[in-house]
Amino acid sequence: MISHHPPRLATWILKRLGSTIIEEALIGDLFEAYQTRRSPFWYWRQVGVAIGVGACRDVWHHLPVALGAIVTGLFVAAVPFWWLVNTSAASLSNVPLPAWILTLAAWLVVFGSALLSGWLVSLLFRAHRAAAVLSLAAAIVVAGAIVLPNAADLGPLALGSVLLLDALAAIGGGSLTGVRERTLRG
Amino acid sequence: MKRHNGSLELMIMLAIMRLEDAAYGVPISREIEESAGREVAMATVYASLDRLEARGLVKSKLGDPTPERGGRAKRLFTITAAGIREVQEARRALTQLWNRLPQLKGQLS
Repeated sequence: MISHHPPRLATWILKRLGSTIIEEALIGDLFEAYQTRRSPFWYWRQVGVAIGVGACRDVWHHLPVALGAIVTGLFVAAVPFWWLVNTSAASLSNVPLPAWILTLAAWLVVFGSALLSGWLVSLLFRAHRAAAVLSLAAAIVVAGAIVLPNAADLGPLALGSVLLLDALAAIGGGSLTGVRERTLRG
Repeated sequence: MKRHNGSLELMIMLAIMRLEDAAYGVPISREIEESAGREVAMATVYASLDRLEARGLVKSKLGDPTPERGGRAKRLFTITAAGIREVQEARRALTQLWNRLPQLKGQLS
């Protein structure tokens, strides 16, 4: 029998952001069901629900972890942002570089700090990685929606895109740490 | 206070009873899809199964890894005696409530 491989990136993300309920058995079930459905969209949706359901359960059962991740992650993400807005913006305006390079550098600092905070939170709260990283991503969106309109001149579409990219950067950073060890019950 | 099952949990327990030795994620979700006419995400089924197992209503064991599952093992579920009692209790309660509806009285087999 020829096996049809589901999207590998989705499985990779599921293995890294999967919570305590995500087991090899569930990944095997998705693989088996994919043989008959074979729709990448279906598979991605299943993976999204699996990460979401797992993270909600983890957050519910480990609220202190989620709060710790939010505080730690926001602090790590906010320090470069604060430096950029309060210290470097004035001095950078004197640097003889094209404006688009400075803008790009500023956004790299914003997304880089989100990626770094996701990575750090994922390391610190390894046992409940999905809950920690997804709580942080949600907190970044909320905090960004409050702070960014005052710090940068962005329209609603640009603001939404930046917040989405920032959250994805934090999730991406959280996915960079190694695959969590799993214990299969049985 | 006794915790009551949701309709999904009840459907899952009935699917496990019907599937007997072949009750794992894929056929359980297929049974629900065919009976209820709606797709339920696999992770949602697993979350319910975990809750049922924590309450001692179902138990699980790992099967052997198989190639059609990418070399991963099945997690096979069976219903416990407490689970069967729970299903019977739910049926009794639902039937009683149903029979109290005058317009539906006698329509249940």
